[in-house]
Amino acid sequence: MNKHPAWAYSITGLMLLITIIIALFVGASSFSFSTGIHALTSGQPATVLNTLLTIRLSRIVAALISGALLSVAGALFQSALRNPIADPSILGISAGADLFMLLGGILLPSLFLTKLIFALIGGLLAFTALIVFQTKVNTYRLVLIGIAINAILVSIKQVFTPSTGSSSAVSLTTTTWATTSILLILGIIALMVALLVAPLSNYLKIGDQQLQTLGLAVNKIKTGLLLLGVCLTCFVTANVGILPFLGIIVPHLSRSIVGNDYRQVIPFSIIAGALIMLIADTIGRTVVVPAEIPAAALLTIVGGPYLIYILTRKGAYHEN
Amino acid sequence: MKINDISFSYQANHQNIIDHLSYEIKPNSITAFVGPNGSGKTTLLRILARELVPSNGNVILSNQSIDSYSAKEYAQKVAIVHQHNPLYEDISVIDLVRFGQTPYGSIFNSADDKTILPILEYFELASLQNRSMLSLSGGQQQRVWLAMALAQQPEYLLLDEPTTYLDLHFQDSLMKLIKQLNSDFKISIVMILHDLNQALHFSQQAVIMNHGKIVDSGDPAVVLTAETLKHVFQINADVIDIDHGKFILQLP
Repeated sequence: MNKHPAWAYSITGLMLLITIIIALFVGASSFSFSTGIHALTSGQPATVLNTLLTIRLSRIVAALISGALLSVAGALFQSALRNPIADPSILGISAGADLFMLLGGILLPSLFLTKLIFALIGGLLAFTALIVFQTKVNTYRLVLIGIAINAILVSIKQVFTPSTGSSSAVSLTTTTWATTSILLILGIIALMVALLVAPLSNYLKIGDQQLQTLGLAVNKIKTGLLLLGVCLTCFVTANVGILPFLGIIVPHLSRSIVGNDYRQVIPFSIIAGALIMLIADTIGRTVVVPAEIPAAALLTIVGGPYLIYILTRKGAYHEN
Repeated sequence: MKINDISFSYQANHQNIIDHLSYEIKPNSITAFVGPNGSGKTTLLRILARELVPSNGNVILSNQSIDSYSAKEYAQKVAIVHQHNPLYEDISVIDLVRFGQTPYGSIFNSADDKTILPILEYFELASLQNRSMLSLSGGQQQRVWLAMALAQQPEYLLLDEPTTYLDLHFQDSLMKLIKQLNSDFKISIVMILHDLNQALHFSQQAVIMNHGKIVDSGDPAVVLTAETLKHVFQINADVIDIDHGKFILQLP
């Protein structure tokens, strides 16, 4: 069980720093590295400074915080549902949030924070649907039910928006400092809560009966962790849309690097999630300039096979 | 611990699994509950652990009904090790044993290792403390679960078929360890056993159950007779006396 978190944190942190610098200086508006540095230090030329600080930096921050939030949400869902592939994006939470944002836009378009409030309502409703089934089926069937709920919600949205299909009204391309700063504040608070409750996820490694004999209220712990996961997911969906698979890839990768202790898995998932999300977004917006490949598509291309790898790995998917 | 006239049924208007059962568990004793499958042993143990609530009667612990204790208070008095202890993700031995200290502190604080380390030593787990649970043998894992229960510093330790899934060597060493726990820490042990010879050799009190009732109880050497076994288990058995003591021998 001995892992070396200090090395893992240092290397991942360094990679994150390098990726942030690269992400800041590459993109559709092309200028040299020295021009960029000059703009940051002297404020000239103003167009370059505007591109760096207003367009790119807000998007980078949004990508970082979204990656961190979704990765932690995945880790929380996996521990509370005791399933290595449980993730809010495949269980319909993101789709519920996305659908209700659409309804919010129709019903109360001018209300401040409409998207966020309706995303939370939608996410919580999808979560409620999932919880209704939780008592009736085992955790493995529950994931399949979650996938069905997800498909239903995505299709309902398509019925309401036949011309645009299922793509979200928001994405990383639509980020501004106005949306990013809300995401940043809520995200940092939520991540601090997640770090605080990380020991609870460790407890859920053992059975409900064993936890009861320790005097713990098992259902309250599970519901609390899941609700936190729902909030993290809805914050992201409201600001940058649905980003699949991060919640599966990152916690799994984190466990293989820093071990199974959630006091390490959650902080490491924050850094690794931010890194992977930023890499995906930076690749997406630079390889086919001036067009963009959505980060969600890149995450699915990488995440899908990774999910198959987790499911087929011997001993990784045992039922108790 | 005094069990007063308790009854339990998993569904209303169905036959009672536990039927008006009364018994007093002697302090600092080792009590073995034996009986055929479906006789209500595990249900009774789960009632004592407060996992199930009886439809009738009550259980008194230290002059107080067990349902009057808070979850945390009860966890400081009674610990249970189940027959099957699921582990959904890997965890180190020491972290699992630390869970046993939960009733004494906050869930967010690390356990006091001054309590944990001697327990690991006692169970000969000190050299394995950083090992992952999934890398241990069944016998070693069972010792870790017992160590976690001991870290609760309980007055009563409930064990549901503790030797199931273990080979003969581990069965023997675990039963000796349970006996040692009772004498070293003055913990009352209440266990369900299928092996009647283990009940004969390792318990001070045997309680024979059938159809949710107690058929007989007392000194195992006295109550575990060929007649009782034939009546309760419907087996032909002989209780033989050899140098090492009495043994139950099942006859064809």
